[in-house]
Amino acid sequence: MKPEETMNYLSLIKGTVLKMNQETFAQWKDALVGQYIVFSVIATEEIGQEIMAEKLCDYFEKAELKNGKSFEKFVEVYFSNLDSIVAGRVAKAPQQRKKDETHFPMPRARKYYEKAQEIRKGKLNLSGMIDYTRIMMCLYAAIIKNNGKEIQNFDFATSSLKLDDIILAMKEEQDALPFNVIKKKKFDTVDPCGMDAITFILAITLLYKITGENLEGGNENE
Amino acid sequence: MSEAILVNALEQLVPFLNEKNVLELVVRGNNKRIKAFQKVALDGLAHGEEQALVNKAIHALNANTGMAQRSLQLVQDVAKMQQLGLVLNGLNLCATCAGFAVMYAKLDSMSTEINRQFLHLQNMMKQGHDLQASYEFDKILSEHTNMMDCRKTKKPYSEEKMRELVDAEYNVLKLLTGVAEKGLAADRQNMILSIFSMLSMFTVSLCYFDEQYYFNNRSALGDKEVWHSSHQNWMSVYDKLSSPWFIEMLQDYAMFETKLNTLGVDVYYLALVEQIRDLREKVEDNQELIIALGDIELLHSLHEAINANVEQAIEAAFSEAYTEDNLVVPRELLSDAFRMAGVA
Repeated sequence: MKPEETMNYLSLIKGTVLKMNQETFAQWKDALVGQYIVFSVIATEEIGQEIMAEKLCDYFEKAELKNGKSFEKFVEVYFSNLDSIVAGRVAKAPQQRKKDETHFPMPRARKYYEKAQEIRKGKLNLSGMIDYTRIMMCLYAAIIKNNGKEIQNFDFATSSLKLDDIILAMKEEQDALPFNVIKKKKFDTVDPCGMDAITFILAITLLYKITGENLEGGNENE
Repeated sequence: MSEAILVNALEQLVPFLNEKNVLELVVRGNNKRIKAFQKVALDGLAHGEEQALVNKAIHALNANTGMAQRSLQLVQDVAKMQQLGLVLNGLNLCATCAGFAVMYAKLDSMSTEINRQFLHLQNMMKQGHDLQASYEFDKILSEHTNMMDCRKTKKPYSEEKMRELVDAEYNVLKLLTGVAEKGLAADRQNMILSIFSMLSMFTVSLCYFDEQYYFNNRSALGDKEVWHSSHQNWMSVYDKLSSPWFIEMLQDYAMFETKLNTLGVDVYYLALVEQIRDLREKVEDNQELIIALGDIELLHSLHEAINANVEQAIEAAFSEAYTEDNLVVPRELLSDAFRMAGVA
């Protein structure tokens, strides 16, 4: 297995945008262009993979300058944002009483959540970003299906990832403010280069990468 | 219908050749994941221009499988880390004596541990008394080998003996899935291998039994239910192994007990889920074929003809690969490939 290169936005773009099949690319482009990525001159239908890849490079470069933070920091915030919408809604292992000899198994969802945290602590690379996103988003999809309530189990299959539902649910997430006086949305994507907008771009890109992998037909353009 | 299909001579398949004189057969790939229409030309009919068509047909076959090249590569990568190759070739290996020997060696080494788990399960479920026959894994393995050997020597098991074997393999499968469901297995990799191997053996035995039962009893059964009364029950094992808890167990094993990443986990569990589906289809396809052909000799001739053509296709593919380097195909490599394809 060849060693993974150090993570930067170029590795992300090369490993995702440039490897998507035509169908996945078209869907991913539709999800981003207009909302998060804006083109002034080129018509949407004329935007190919290379153009999108170049545009995304420029976007991250601009975002780094504007925020004064590196791409690695963006990923850190992305991980932390996903954690903030999942962590509290994954059932914890039941407390073991000292006298109680019965062993309570850890809920399956919690086992996977902890695995994701292990991945997060490891060396940052594209494979880790994909694995973390896959587990956390599958957990989140199960939470959405359970009306936002705590989950014990979840569906690990990529078919459980309904991308539009996930993005919509993320947009609707609210911050838990004291006494529920003011309801404030958790993510603010008004600033196109803001940390929340970056989280959405990363989430959408990685989600399409994950669901675009078609193991039945090997559909990546490699 | 019986007059229209090949019995003993390949010439009788001529009516089924397409306009390019190529016969299309449905085959399963070695890895059990790919079903393709294999295009073959018949031996004796392929001369000159026809020979070129054979080569073209094989190229077409390769082109078809090439579509899934990336998936194959992923499966192979995962198979290197696991015993996935053995599992995915299960049905083919179980179909012949020589093939089954490959599996037997591996399974036999695990039988002591598996028998211990059966006992544990029976004690736990307090079923020891109910399940009077304490099924032993190694005994079923040796019985399956014996059945295969008897077929090889043209002294096949009687219908009753086949039914007993199918029932015994079904019960062992139930015990194995019970061990899996209760989380009693110390080594999950071996448990998964033993479940899939036993499922392949069971599938082969069930197909043989269906043939015998149908042809022995069809006059008595008439238009009524033509399969054995236990058939539905036996088939339930495929449902059990397609249920969410089993799929979750495969995912959990791959996620927590191997070094696979999430894509590798997908390759692993999806290949196994498809294997279960393929094995079920094998039984159902066989039933349809039995009814459609309506004659056991014809059925066997068809199986032989298909095997012969698969052998030809394999041989041709190897020869082509070796021609470029002017090498002779090693005999053992070829017989290995035949064995893996279940035609040895």
